[in-house]
Amino acid sequence: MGRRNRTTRSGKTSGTRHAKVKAAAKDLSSARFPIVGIGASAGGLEAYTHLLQHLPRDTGMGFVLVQHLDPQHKSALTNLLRRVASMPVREVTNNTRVERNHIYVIPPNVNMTIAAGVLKLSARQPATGVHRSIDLFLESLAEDQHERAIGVILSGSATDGTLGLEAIKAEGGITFAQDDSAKWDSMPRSAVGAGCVDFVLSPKMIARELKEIAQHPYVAGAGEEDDAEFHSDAERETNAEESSAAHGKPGWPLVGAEQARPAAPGRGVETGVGQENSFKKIILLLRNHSAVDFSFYKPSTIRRRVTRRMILSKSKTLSEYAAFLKGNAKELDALYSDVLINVTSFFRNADAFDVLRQKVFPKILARASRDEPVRVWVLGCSTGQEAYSIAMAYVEVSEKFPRTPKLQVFATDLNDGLLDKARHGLYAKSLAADIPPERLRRFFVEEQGGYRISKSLREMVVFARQNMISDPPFSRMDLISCRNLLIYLEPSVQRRSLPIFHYALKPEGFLFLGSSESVGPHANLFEVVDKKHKIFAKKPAPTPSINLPVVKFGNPRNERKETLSALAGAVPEVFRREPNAQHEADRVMVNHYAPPGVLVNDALEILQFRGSTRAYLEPPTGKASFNVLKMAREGLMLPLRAALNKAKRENKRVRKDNLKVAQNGNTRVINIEIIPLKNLKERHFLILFLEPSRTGHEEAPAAESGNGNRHSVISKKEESAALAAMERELAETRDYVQSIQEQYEASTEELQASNEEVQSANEELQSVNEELETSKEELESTNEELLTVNDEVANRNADLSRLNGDLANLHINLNMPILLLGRDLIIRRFTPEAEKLFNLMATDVGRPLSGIRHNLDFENLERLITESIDSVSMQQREVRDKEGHWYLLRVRPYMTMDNKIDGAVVVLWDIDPLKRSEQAAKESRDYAEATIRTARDSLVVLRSDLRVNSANDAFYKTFKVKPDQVQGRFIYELGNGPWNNPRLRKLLEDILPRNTFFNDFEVVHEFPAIGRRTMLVSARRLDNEASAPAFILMAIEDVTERLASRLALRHSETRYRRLFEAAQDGVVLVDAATRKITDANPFIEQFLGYTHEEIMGKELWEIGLHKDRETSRVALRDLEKSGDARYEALAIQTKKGQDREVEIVSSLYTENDHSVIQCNVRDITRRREADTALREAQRRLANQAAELEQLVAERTGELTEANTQLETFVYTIAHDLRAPLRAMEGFVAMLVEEAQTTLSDTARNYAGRISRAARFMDALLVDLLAFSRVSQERKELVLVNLEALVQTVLGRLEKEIQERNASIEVVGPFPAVRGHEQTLGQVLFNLISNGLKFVGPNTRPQLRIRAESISRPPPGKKSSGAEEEWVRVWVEDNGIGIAPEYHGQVFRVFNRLHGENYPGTGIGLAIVQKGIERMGGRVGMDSVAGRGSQFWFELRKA
Amino acid sequence: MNDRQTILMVDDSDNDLDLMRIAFAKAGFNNPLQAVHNGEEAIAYLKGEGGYCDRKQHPLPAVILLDLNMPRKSGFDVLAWIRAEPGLQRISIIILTASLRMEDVERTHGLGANAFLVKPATLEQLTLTIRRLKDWLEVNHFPPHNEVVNRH
Repeated sequence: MGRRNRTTRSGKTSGTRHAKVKAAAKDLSSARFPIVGIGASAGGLEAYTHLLQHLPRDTGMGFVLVQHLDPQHKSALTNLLRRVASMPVREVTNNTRVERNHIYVIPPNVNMTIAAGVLKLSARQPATGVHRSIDLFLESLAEDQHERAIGVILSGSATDGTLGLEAIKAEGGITFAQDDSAKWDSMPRSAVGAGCVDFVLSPKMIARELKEIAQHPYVAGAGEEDDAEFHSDAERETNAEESSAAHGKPGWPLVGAEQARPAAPGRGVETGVGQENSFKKIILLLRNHSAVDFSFYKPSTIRRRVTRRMILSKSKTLSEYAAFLKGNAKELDALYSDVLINVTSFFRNADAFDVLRQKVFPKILARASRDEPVRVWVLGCSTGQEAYSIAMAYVEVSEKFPRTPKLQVFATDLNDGLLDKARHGLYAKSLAADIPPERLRRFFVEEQGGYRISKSLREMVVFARQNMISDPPFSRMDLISCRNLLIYLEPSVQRRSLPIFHYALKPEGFLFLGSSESVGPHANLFEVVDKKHKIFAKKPAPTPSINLPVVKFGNPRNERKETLSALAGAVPEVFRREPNAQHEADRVMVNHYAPPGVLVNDALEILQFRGSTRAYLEPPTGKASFNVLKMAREGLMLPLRAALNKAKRENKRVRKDNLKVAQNGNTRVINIEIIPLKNLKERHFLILFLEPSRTGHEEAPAAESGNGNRHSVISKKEESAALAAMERELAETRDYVQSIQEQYEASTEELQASNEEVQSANEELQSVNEELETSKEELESTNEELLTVNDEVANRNADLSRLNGDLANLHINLNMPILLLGRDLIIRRFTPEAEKLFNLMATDVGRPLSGIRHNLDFENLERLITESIDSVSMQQREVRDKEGHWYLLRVRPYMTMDNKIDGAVVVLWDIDPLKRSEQAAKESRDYAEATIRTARDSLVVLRSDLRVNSANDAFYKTFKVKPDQVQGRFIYELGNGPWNNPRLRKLLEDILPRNTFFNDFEVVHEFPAIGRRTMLVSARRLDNEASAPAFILMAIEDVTERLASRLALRHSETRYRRLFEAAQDGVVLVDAATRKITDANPFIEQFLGYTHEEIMGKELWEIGLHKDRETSRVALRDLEKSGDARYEALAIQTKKGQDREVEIVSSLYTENDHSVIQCNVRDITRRREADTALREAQRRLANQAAELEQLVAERTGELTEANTQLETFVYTIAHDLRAPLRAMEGFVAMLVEEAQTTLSDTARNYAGRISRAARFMDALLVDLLAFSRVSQERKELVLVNLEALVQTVLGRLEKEIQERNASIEVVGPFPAVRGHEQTLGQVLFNLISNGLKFVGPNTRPQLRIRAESISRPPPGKKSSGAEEEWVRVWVEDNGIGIAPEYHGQVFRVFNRLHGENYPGTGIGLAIVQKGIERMGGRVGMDSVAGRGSQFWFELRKA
Repeated sequence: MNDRQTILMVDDSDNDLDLMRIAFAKAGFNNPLQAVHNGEEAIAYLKGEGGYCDRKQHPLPAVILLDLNMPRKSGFDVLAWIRAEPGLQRISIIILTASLRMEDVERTHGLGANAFLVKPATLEQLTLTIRRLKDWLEVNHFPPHNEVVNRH
């Protein structure tokens, strides 16, 4: 079944655009000629050249060349082709119109398309990976020119052009591909592989073929056609649904069109009638060949294809073609395929698939049960892309659902060739352009020839041949996809198809049509799901009978055509409703054989008359009524009512016999039967009017007529009885026949339904069977292939094992470590020598090198190898193994036979001996050089002629000369001739001839740069390499300094000796090894009383410096360990037996390679005695101090005790003594008050005195208490805000200040001080209140309080440097003042200077002094009698 | 404080007690006065023991004037005892003693005294002091429990 998908076109083509295109086509009638699109890539120039060389100048065609060109460079192609082509060659510019007999060449770096015969250029998108410029052009050419498009693919690599040719073929154009003459054949091969190429030829032959096509009458005449002639009215009609596409689509003049244009003479185009016959004949031939009746197809479609075949087969007329076709199975196949050709692709019209994904599959999945597969039928599946696309979409959607029923896709088509392709599921690489990479990865497997559908996806789809028109449909489908198939069919067939789909779908199944298709008149069967993308859902309406074609079993395929023709006749019947025979039968039966009656409802209204009731009922007069009682004839009404009532009441049959009914004056006897109808919503009654049995009926008149002929009566009676019996029998038989008839009809109906189902099932089975057979064939052929391959493999294996053997032997004999690695550094092979070096075992083959711990002392082996592979270059390094053996490591990339890099070869050359000898040579050279360079002595090498060959650094340094002052000079001429000494000359000149040498020849010389020096010269023969003349090596040693230091040493030794001998400490030197005394100074000899000789050679213990030998040994060993030792206060005895105390300090030092112990011995006897005396004195002093302290503590305790007692005493006095005073004062006051009138003045005076005395005493006690408190309490000193305190105190004295009208001047600022707030408050209170109190009579007190910061040394220390910050506060008054002689007394307790005029206790200033002293400060005053006083106190600044 | 509430004076000096009564009268302080002479008696009074069991005669005081320096139990003892006695928490205790020692002020406040007064040297000053005390008690607010306790 042919199917063309042109959704891309019709989807976006609007009516206006059609109109425009059409108008353009009309204006430019010259555009009606074939346009040949020729695509090529690599190797294209040669192919073009051949092709164009052989093309005549007047083909009448236009040629457009699409070549892959370097985007960077201007193309020379146009110029090159101009030389070979007989036609004009132009490079295309935008909007170039293609003309006949011209060649157009694409410019570089653009995309070219064609629209309405005009070439359009557009900028190429950057970074597009694959060149698809040929596809792009050919596709647009197919779309624009349809069957007038001709595509040619010439030499080139990759697959560009394949899709373009497919498009051209699908549009009915003609396609060519270059044969194996192509230099690069993958492009043409890809096109041939895709099956869309009509001719595979060499360029030359292509040219020839093109020429012939150009001469074909339909082609040659095409250009003259006017648009109107392409599409006759008749054709337009048939194309009604295709019109949108057909309008924009000029084509060849169609053969066989009903109103064929008059035959052009000489062109062999036949007349209309002849054409029609030939066309029918072709259809018939096709039908016989393929069992498909193409008369259901739109003739225009078929004709276009036939024309194409005619052109290809070079048939000039239809009849010629028909004759050619007859019996030509190959051509029939070709035509059949062509008719059914299509263009399809994966996810064509992707939007529609989105709708499937979003709207359709979720619904199907939501209602699907787990066990049953989701069933999809894809009609016109062609090469399977659509079916696979739907399967992919389903898989993608279903993954998001919790349960995913299996998918079963039935994909059907008429074309076996296409089905085969679909089954293989192998698609050209070019599909990668349509499918996103992740989908590609997921559903496809990349193979040599392209991409193959993955197995899991393939298994979901069953491909089968099925003719929608003639074969039974599948059933119970969830989704039917029938896209762009219906448009090719006759409208009547289209209409017929939809009920079939309706039948085949499950309830609420979906139908997926092409974008220009619709459900047409069957809107009652399908509702729209997505209007734009033509997705419909089955409505629950009953399926109109689809009248499935009956298929005879056995040989279904061959029989189909019969059913097909049967079907053709039945088509108009399809949509007529079946007449309801049963109802009709019932109606007839009731009318004829049932007793007459009426059906009434509960209200006795007649609902239905059955049979003739004329005899029993009549329309009532008056108001029209259907009430049965009103309509009853005379005599019937009463019994009828009674019977109805009874029936109503009892709800069962009621029968009344022998009722007399008047009719037209006659009386008839009838029976009535009332039957209540049950099981209905309302109550109904069936009233039957029964004629009494014929006998009964006859009887009555007979009876009425009196006795007649008895015999005749009897015989008549018998006769009528027989008649009645026969009639009854007849009636029974009729009933029986009736029932049998009904049963039969029912079973026929059932059968029909089952048949339909069976046919659907059968179809499915056949499809599956077919699929299986195909698979089996495939398997067999695969098996065959495998056998062949196996043989091949066996042969190869033999070769391989021989090669392997060779290789193994080679490896063993190479006797060097070799390692073969794969690309990812997998070990492939290694030699036995490599085993040891790389720690390899046979099982390591196949493991990565990185996992091996090799023995080479070389970290970056892997990196080196990778580097070698990546850079395709040899890398080498000298490396050592862990044992220090040297190898040359050489890494080369491993080249396969076809020059690919597939790993690396690692070879190790044993270079150890080489390396070692090289090293030895280098070492000895280095050694010699280093020796000469580092020698401290100056060395000069002289040639045999006594000229300087070379000198070492020491020489240049010693003599402060430069190499050019020395080298090559004669030895005697160096400097100012130090070596020009006759004796030295003699010695030097003798060396070579006599083979002598000399040492330490002394030269004393005044050198210009370094002054006077003493040199020792030695010289000897220096043998060079064998052949060369010998050298003299002259060594010069500067001994000037050595001589000088030797002298200095001698001097220092003398000094040391004097010191040693004059020292007032004893010094003894002992050899550490022998422990014998080697030297002693005179002091120790004298001190110990030994002579020098006695001491020398003795050990230390022998002269009493150690107690005994053992002690000495231990002491000396300790000394050797620690380096020095000290013994304080060691008691020894002199030789004369005197006791001495010494201090010995020993130290170890090295002198001339052996250890010497030096012991310094000091006599500390006297010092020890003085020490003892001092310690005794100190002890005594300490004792006395302790005693004193004890005494002080005791005294302090006593004092504290006394103090406490005193305090308690004072407190008690203050506290307890005040009580009697209060009583005295209080009661005297009461006495005076009580005895107010009776008391004499004298008595009142006495009472006043008592009272005043008591009050004074109380004041005294209060002050005393305050003083005691100030002197007793210990206060912690804190920061006191003096300023605030002054204000507080002034506040407390507010009353006095007012009373005395005093003026107080407070001069701030007052720095904060360290003190005790309460005590300081008391101090200020006393000072200020004194100032207020002690003023002269009639004097207004004036006080000034101020503060100053001073620096003074801390109290108690006499002018030690550090001074402290203090604050001095002044309280100055204008009072009576104090005479200087009393200044010392004012601060004493109870010291009052003033008499009764100035009452006071004399304690206030004492409190001031005590308080300030307790705070660590001091007080003072400055006063002159009568001139006021200035009191001050000092406290530490806080 | 109303004028029916009792004031208890604790002082070992009869002179001082008499002078205080005089001062109370002079100050127009008409509340009933009760006096005891030492700490033990004060505690007995508050407990309602011995001669003090009749609360009609010896009602619980609202205010106590407490001397510190007393024989047997001192003012400190009485103060500490009262403040440990749950039923007597709301009685206002005013220390009235002969001499001012800061450590005494510190200590009595620590034990929960409400005020610390020094006995003035003269009757005139004493009267002034009592008048001030009266004023202070009048303007002060006391917790309700204090009132309840004192109504017994």
